[in-house]
Amino acid sequence: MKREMDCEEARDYLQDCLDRGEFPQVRGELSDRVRAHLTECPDCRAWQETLAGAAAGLQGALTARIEAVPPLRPAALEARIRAGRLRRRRRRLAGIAAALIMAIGLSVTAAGILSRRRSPALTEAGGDYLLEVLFTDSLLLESSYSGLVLEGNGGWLADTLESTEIYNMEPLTIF
Amino acid sequence: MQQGLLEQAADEILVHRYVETGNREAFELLVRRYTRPLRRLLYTLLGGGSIEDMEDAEQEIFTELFLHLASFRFQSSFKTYFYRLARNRAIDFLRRRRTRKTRQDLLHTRLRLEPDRPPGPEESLLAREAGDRLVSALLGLKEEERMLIVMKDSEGMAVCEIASVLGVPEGTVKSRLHRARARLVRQLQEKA
Repeated sequence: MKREMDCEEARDYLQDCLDRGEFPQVRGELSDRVRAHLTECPDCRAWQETLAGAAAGLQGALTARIEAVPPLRPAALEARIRAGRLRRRRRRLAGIAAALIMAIGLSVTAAGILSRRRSPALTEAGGDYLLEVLFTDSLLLESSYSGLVLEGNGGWLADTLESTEIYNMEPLTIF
Repeated sequence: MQQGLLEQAADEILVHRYVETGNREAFELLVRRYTRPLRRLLYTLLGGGSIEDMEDAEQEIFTELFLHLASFRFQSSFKTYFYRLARNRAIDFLRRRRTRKTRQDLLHTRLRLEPDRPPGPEESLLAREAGDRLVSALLGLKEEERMLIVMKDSEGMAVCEIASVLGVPEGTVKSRLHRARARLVRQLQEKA
């Protein structure tokens, strides 16, 4: 003999029907037992009615609530999207620039550390080293200095520029 | 593709056309198709809120969507992709709004989406009352419960689609949804 269905089971089954898009019809292998339960249980009948009303009326009730919102203007949205793209491109470029600056900074620092380690020997050797400094006024100077060590490090650079009487000019790039 | 044909095209075709050719009509059609569902979801998630909030969130979500559309890989349906993005951005928006509200002057008046607005042309007084009761009961639920009910019972999404949006198994969606509906029915019966 089949066991009688309890309220929880019946309500779960009703919700399964709703999930499958069958509600408020009750179909499937347990439908007879659910119907039998609903006949006998006024609470579950009321529950079923409330659920059916909620499911059927929800979209309409929400739509009525959003009517006050002005319609979206695709042109304005498109303009905003274009501006967003521009911002993203700028951010990407700024990121690339920052990465480049960081890479240059790191290599200059590394070169400086290496030159400090090497410099006494180089100074003592007194050889000729080529200095090329590109200045802010786009003037490119090429000179040869005897016994001068320049490896791009800030400290070394300051010493070098002082000794070559071009101290007040601002260097941009050092080769 | 002619305008009429484009209107009947699946979302994924519109996305493809917009991404590949920058087709304006495809863009506008997608916006038109998803504006109302998005507004219903936002209304529910923002717990009513103001018109300004709704417009801000909506614009933010659509902007984000179209900015990243080129990265849509067609591995899920566009609908699922859209709801996932909308849900995540709406939650971000809610968090920001909560922070802002604590700083906001309480006397600052904003145009609210009032529950006692005049009935719309297609809304009878009775339907309006029932609708108000229903929405107010819905807004009394937890955030996730509201979202589940709206996605399933208002937007007609399948359980598997909701599972994909939320990133949880289908069984979890089902049990949470059933619990949420049971709570909604209880709230409605208490209000009746």
